[in-house]
Amino acid sequence: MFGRKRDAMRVADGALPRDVLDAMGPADRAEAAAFADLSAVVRSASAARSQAAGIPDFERMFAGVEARVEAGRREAAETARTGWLAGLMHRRPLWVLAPAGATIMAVALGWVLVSGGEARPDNTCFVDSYDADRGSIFVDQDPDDPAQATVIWVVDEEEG
Amino acid sequence: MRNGSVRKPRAVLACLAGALIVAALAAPVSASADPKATVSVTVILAKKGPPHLHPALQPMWDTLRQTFGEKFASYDVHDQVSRKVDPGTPVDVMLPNGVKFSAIYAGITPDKGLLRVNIDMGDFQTKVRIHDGGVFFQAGQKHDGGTLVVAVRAALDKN
Repeated sequence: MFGRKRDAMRVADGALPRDVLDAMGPADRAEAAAFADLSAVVRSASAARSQAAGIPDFERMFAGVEARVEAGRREAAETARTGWLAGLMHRRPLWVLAPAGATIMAVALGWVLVSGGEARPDNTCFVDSYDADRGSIFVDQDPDDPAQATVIWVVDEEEG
Repeated sequence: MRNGSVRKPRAVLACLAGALIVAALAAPVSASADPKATVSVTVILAKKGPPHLHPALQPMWDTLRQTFGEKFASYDVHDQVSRKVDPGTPVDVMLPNGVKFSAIYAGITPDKGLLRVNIDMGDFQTKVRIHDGGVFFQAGQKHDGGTLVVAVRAALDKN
């Protein structure tokens, strides 16, 4: 008997599914309904008393906590389904975009520094003297472009 | 009186000997004051023909392209020598036409630190100054349907 009464109380409190009542008799169902009514009265009275005394409404607070826990569970399930990065991007876009932007900036800065460190060599060449017994000598250089190397052509006229 | 006349030439001789010793000591010091340099000589056979670049010329491709433009399309390496040398030491390479090509690092200029490089190739000689790490070419001799291009690069030894 105590077992059925306890089950009825648990059904009234929502701890057991209501289909448990189907296995009970009409008297037990009526008792569960009475327990439910009593529980509602007690809860409303408690809420009214708390509100009058300035005490936070724990029912609503727990409802909020439950809602947040449920939302967290849904987010975790969503993350597991779509991947952690996409989930994080969806929930906290700044947590993804800020490091990504910083990485891009660092790479760009590194590229500028590295390419600046490996500047093209200065191939400016000052030809002080040249001499040949035969053939023609001419110096091909562009003083405005230090990257272009100087060519000292020695052309044998017999060869053309 | 006699002693004084003997002492004076001796003093002059001593001074001359001292000056010679100082000069003899100073000369090698000034010659070895210039740092060593790595001189690289690359003998390239350049042709028109189908485009080709020897893998060893990959680092030099930009310079070749900017310097010779459309003049050549095919660059093959015949020989390549690179040595770390003291001033005055030649880096020799034999060209495929049998002519010896010598690149002689001759120290650095005191004002701008340019590297002096002398080229000796048969009856052709030239003296140039280049920046540290700079390259220049000597070209013009015909060989095997192409043109011999000799790249000379000199860079100071940083160690």
